[in-house]
Amino acid sequence: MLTFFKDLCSYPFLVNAVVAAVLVSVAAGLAGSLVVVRRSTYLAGAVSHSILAGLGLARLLQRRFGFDGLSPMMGAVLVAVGVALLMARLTARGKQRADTVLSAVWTGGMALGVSFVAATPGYQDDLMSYLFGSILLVSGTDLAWMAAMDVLIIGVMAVCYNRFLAIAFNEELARLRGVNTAVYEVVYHVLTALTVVLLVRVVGIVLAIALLTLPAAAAGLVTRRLDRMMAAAVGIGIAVSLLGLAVSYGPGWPPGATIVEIAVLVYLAASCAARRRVRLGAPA
Amino acid sequence: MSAERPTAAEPAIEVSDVCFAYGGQEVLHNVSFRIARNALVAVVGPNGGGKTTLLKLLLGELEPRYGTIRVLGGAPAATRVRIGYVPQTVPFDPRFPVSVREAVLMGRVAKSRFGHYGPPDHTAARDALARVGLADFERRSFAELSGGERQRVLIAQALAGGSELLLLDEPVANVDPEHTSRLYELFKALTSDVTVMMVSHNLSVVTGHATHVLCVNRMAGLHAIGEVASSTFTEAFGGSLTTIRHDADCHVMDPSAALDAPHHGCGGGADSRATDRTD
Repeated sequence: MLTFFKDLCSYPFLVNAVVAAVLVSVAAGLAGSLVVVRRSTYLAGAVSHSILAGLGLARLLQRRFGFDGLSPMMGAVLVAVGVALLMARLTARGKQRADTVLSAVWTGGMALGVSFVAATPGYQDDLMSYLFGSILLVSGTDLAWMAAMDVLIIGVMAVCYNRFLAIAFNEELARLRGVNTAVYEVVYHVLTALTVVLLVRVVGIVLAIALLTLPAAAAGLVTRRLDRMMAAAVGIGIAVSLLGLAVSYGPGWPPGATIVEIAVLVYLAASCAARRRVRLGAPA
Repeated sequence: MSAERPTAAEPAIEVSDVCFAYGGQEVLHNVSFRIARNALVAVVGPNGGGKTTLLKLLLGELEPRYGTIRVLGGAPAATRVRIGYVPQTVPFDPRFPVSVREAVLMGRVAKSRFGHYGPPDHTAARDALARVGLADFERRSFAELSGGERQRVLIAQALAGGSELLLLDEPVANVDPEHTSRLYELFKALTSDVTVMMVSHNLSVVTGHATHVLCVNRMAGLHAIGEVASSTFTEAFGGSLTTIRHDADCHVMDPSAALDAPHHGCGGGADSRATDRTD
């Protein structure tokens, strides 16, 4: 860990990684708290895995058909937003079984991604880095995108917080009280999808769901209000990400996996503490 | 909007010749009734008789195939924000992070601006909590409350939103007897300025508190409480009934009497029952 702090002053890529960890933790803490209280963790999973289709398609169009302006991340964003809109529409008011739709999107997206990668000439080693993330390779442009996303998410949460809370509490009651729930559902799905795209850059497709939900879930065990849960989730996310980065750097462990492992430990510790409080008769 | 406010003489609910069917299955047939403001109406009838469907029609969630519905002087969809609906159960995660105050404030969620509730919203929430007897519960977690207390919070939510009509779908279904009695007393007290319509299966308690009984079993019949006799319920349910308490004009029913009874505007025999898919 000492090596990490020593090198932090010398290597700009480490500074970028630290800034990225903080920025994605803000987005993940806010969006992740909503995902956790709405019990829609699988939405994040489906979006993150379907992103592979966007990454693969963008690279295929780039390499085989000369669309040089289309980066893999742009493909990921387009697919993530498309999937979010599809999910919002199909699951609105129980039009479709959510679990069935999620399974189709999850597996279909992965399958398409694999096919696109296979059809692209050459070995796509950088695409493979999206599977497990590459926080040490985050560029200045990536940081700008992450900062913009944070501003967007904080702004939307500030304006829509009451409505998101009411819909999460009971969608039917919120609708009957005059909230246009269909619009807010779309906003929620798109925000979650964009947050997942950010997380994929840091911890990868496979682990994005963990960094989105584990800090929020741990925060939910120590507070009984959504706004405090969001704040705590952001704090836990930053702590977990920075610790994971620092711990993994010296021995050369994969940073994304280390971050998630620490997040799991924090969640387990919070669960044990919550159970202990319940046993002692204190409010959970 | 103010033009749609009901005048003193205008009924809170006016249903005329309403028919509704799910596909080819008719659930409500030629239903007509008028409910005056400040009434406490108990909606009774067998499962599948159309009670919940009727509530959804009054909320504007469903459209009648024939007939007209006016609620609070307007079409249900237009007056919906002035109707407070409390479902039988709220699917609720016991760890959902919301305080009682936040839950009540949700009654004013559509009125809040830029994600924040203003002083009038907080005042309305406090007043509503006081009306349902939970003034000291403001800071407590919703998850810590009992079933009866949660129902009160949901009623407070509706009141905080300025509801002039409360539609309660089996409000005491998951509530213990002590809280049940308190809830009925609360409903009675609320009728000083609100019309209350509640679905209930507890016939003996209903007759002790309601001003009217609306029997729904495909057809519907509205009775002032003074007109309600044991045969009223028998005909509504289309079969035998057994009541436990006898503090009203209800007795242990004779099943054979029910089967022979003529229609009383409440549906009638077992052969007239329809399946209410939302019940």
